[in-house]
Amino acid sequence: MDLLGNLSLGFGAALSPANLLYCLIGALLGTLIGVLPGVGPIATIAMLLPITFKLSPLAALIMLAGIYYGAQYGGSTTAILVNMPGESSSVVTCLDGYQMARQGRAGPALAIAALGSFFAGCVATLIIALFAPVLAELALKFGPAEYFSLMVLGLLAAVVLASGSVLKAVGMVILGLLLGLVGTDVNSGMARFTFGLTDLSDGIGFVAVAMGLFGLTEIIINLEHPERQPQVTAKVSHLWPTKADFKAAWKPVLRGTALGSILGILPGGGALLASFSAYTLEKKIAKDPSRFGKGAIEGVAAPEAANNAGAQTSFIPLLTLGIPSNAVMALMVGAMMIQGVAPGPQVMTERPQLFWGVITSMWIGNLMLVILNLPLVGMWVKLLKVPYRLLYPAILMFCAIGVYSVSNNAFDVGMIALFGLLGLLFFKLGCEPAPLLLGFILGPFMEEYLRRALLLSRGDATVFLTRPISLGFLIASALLLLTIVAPAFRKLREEAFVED
Amino acid sequence: MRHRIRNSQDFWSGVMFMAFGGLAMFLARTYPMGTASRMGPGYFPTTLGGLLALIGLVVALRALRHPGEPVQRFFSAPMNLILGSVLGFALLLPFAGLIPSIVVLVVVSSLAGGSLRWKTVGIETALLCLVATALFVWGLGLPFSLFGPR
Repeated sequence: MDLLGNLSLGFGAALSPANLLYCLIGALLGTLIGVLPGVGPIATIAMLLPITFKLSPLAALIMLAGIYYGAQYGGSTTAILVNMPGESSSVVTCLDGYQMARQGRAGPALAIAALGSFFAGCVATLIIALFAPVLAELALKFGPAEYFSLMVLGLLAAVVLASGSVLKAVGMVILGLLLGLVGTDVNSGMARFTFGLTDLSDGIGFVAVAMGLFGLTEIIINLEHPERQPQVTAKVSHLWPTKADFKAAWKPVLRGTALGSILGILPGGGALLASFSAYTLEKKIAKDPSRFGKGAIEGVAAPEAANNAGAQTSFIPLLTLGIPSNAVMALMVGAMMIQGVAPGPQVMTERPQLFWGVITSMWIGNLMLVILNLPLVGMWVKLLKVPYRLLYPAILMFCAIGVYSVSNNAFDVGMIALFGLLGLLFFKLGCEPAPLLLGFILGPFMEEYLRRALLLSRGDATVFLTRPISLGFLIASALLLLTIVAPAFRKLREEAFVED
Repeated sequence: MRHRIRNSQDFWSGVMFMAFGGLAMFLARTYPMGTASRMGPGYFPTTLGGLLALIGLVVALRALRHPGEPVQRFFSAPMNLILGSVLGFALLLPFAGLIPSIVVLVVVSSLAGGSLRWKTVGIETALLCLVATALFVWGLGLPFSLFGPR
């Protein structure tokens, strides 16, 4: 099938009134929750997951994608209005966005962020439609050895992107892999790390892990440090950017889109890396770099376009290879499996309507965000004015009920508390939890692929080096490791993370 | 010097990794290892546990040479209250039903927010009970009992 045929198949599926409605609800709810300070996309998706259970797989995925973009957008709104990034990828938006808001230009900053994101979303959708089939075809040639090596590469890439010590991030990945092994071993039927608890025989619920590490921990930290709680100072008076704003912003949007699309596809990439690099790039090529950090519109336009493009193209590895490239995508894998869809190259060939429906709905979701959210900005501002002491008990309640509804087991609610405690420990020790979540999802897969690869090669470990694609991934991993150790790159990486 | 080492984030991260790695290896000691071509359930966890403990050791040793950021106080009133409120919800839900569990969750967690205003907390609790019932029980038809065991 050609591109147009594929897209029209997708639009046919996504444009049904019911699916449009789910997309709309998803985008709205995602923004609503994502706007709340300290609630990033991971916590938002985890919290809203239960409302998608009763839907068909296509409708559920459409809604989840809507929630994801909504949460991203909500995060930028919070970043601009109250200088509090809801998630790490909005960190750079704070730098100039909040300054613009303080200068009374919150409206234009929000509008440019929305329009830039929309443009990036359009381009990224096209890229997915173009590249996904090619990659999926390639992925069908993958054996267990290739998958194992690819996962090694993806996990290493996630480590490079974590801020702080690389070695600690590797430790977190391995800890995540180990936690992922809890439960019954599929091959031997043996219960591992369950402490004799039947509640653990199916493994630890990934929603509970995500909510504990990213939701509960954040709430506790905010309460321990009252100065972290948001104060809205900015007023949104006029919304529309001036002609000069547009003139200054369109090139950064283009550059951000290009950079974001590429970085999103890379394993371990996604929105975070995209927004950081786009900001750094704009600052480097600007005629007057000193304007950055003082309300430069380029500093909002480029990273916002880049993070949306990256957020979207990071679906490519997930949809084609079945491998999540970051923590949000890891959550998507879980959501797909709850729906009975095993992510991987076979999705495109076996369920083309689902595949293309999800892709086209990304574009529709982006459109809805622009149409809906700009007029609704006033409402989001009001929401931000609700005192935090009233907000967090409600967030807690939705987390608890959400986790319970995944398994109908109160044990999993207790697990949020446990992982909240662990998350707090990680925070106090300066260990980043995102690599752990990725390892947690990939743990069982990695073991399975390693086992199968070695079974096929009769225990010969060189199989990972003799198969060309697998070797390629491992060489890429080695290069990546080398760049971490190399002093020049190390300095660059430290600089990039100094900004947060 | 000694004081700074004992407080450094990296040192304790290393200790944490060693503890988790060691625990994994200890628990996995009874799982059959198998051979490389026929991996048993103990193969992967034992390897990972060993690797984690090794990384923990390196992290801790490096921290001895470069003392870094000190660890902040770990236990705090908000932490105990928030974790307690969630645990309370988890323990109550199977026996008491949704409404009492929400009441406990919201009231206990509200204590963590500093000065408690009973009137606002009361209104919020009632409102959240209503929202949860309308959305999750009536709207989405999730299998909750409002009061009493399911």
